[in-house]
Amino acid sequence: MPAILTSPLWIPPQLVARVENPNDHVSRIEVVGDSFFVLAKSANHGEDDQLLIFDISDENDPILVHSIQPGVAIHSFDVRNNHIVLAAGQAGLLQYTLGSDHSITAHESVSGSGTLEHLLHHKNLAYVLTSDSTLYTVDVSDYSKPATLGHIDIKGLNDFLLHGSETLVITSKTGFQLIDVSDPSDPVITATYNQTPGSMNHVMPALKGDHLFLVCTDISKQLHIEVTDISDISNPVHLATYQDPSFSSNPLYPVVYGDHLFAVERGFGGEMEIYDISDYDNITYLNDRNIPSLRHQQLFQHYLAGINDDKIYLYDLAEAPAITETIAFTAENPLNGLIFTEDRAVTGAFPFQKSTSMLFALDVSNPDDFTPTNMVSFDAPWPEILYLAENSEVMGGNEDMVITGTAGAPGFYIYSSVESSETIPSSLGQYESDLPISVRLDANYPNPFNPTTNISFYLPEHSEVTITVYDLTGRQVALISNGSFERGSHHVTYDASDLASGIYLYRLQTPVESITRKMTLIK
Amino acid sequence: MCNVTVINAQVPTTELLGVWGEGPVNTATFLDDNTVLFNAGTHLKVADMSDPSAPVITKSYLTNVSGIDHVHYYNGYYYATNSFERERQYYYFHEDAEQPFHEIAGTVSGKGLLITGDTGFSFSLREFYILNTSDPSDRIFWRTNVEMDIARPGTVHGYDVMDDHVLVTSRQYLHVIDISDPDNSVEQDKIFVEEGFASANIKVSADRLYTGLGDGDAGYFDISTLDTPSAGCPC
Repeated sequence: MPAILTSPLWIPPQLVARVENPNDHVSRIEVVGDSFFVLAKSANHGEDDQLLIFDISDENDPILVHSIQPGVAIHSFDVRNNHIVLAAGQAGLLQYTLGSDHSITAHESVSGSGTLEHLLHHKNLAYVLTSDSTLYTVDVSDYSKPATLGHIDIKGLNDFLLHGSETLVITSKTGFQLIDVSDPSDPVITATYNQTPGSMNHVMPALKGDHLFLVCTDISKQLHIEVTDISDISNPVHLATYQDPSFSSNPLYPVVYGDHLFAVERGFGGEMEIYDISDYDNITYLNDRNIPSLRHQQLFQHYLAGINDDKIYLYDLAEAPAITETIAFTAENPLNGLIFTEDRAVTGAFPFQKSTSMLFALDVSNPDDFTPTNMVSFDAPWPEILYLAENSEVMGGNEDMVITGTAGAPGFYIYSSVESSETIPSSLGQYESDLPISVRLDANYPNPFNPTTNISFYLPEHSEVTITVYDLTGRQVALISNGSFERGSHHVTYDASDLASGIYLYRLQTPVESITRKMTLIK
Repeated sequence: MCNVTVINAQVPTTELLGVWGEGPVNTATFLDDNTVLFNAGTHLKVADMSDPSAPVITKSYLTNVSGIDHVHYYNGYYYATNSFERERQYYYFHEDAEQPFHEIAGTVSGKGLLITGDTGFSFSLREFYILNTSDPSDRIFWRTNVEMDIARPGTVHGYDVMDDHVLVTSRQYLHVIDISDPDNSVEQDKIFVEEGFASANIKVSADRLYTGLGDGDAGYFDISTLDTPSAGCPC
């Protein structure tokens, strides 16, 4: 019940002055001296956000003296004396000073960071590509304090690899850039190369010595292979283009072994295309091989290794174009991420059920049968689970530590090693839970979905239940359900018409338990 | 072929050694003339910006608070509120405490948290909270709440403290809360304002109330009349 009014009925306040907002609404305001600061937000485009500054020394006649429009979303701001700071999301903390003549001077920003897209770990360095097209060089020698050494803006990104130990090749839809990282604190772009066919959908790199092979698929799924000599990192020289107009493919991910290029198709079904590249002027298609759709494909000895669902596949390339297939390891849950150290492989299963994930260390001395030498389960507290979820990946590591990260979420995590000298006998068998039957949150169906999906859950007893939806930054975007539910199975339908395409998390919370899963909206 | 599907619940839990990358900056506030407290994803950071050309991060704390949308510091304690929970919570930790911090203070919404001395203020959709913040480690953190007469679909937007009163804006009203006796705070009046309110904060200074207006513009009101009873006053 509202409070009882006990006081005089005061005279309503009178508007002294109004200032016009060119955007949709005013989010925050501040007043410092004779300056009135107004954060004008755009409902549609963050880049339209402005901080308006009015001189109100004559309060009956406010004058707009400046507007700051950094071209990115402004979430909040503060002012002290003549110093202005803007909280600008992935653009970080921006700062300006306001001169006595109302001039604005921009100063050095404090970086935030975009979300992780790719990570490449080499010795004591991690090279990180973020969604805001920035390359970071990060010193990971002190596992507890990974430190940014340098960063540089790059031109889009598709993928990257290391040439030698001092040059990064970063591909984008229009070609590639070469980055000299000999001084990790000062990465330098030495060359930007635009490929001849123009913009592509996917441009994936592979190296044979100093020859860079770009395997490109365009919007009509046609294949181009561009060959470039990058021995002089300041002056890459285009050598050849291979094109097959009759060939149509989903994105292809290449590896080179000997005189052959193996391009792995990733899509609803898998395929491996095999090319003879002994003469780059005369690249020859040899044959193809039906394989499962692989992720995290890479060279391991003379094998092409990759993951499909819960399995690690090996393809022996030594007798190419004849290829033999081996399933080297099968886990209980889908695997994500695969790295090889000297005599070990490390992979992970991130079931995204509750907070328990698994890391596996595998003895790879017998390629026919990767033997687990250690398995570690870890319970990640919220919100760490955001980054250890189903699409989390093992991205790097050595004998002492493992790097995990999730494309689309900030940063990466370093965990202690899962290496062990003792082999775990497979006779341990299936883990049988002795826990009582607890709350269960099932995978949404359908998934991916557009725009509705069904979410089912089970309660062992009557309980209060909240089901919420978050984006990958942890921001709540929807409340699906909030109320009391009886013991038993329930399902709710969620309509995401007002959300953009992307990966979202849905979280069921009871007074005693919290479970989170992932869903994908594709419009 | 190996078909190991073992999940051994007895194996040790692995240890998180380090984290890199923080994520977006959603909020920032000056602590003094040269120091700014801000979030970067789940981190709280303090930057010395006395030399604007060379800002220096002086403190960085990893929290477990996602979706931080407001940060605050008072008397040795950092506070963070988020938009992550259905009812926004506030989180706090002492600057010398082990990190990460994950105390959740009470069940009171942390929206618009402001702490001044031993008293704090926050609000939810239709209630305003006066908090006893003399001992942040005390989970019994709130002193009283004032359920306000908010015309639906309006909700509380912003507030500012004016002596023994708090002025609170909702969609179409200016609410006056008497906090002279904090434990018995009461909504004293609710004044219809034709222009309406919209911004997430307001400022009261020298008989002026600065705010975003209901139609999307911004402006400021003369509130010197608030202590003047209208002609129809029954008092």
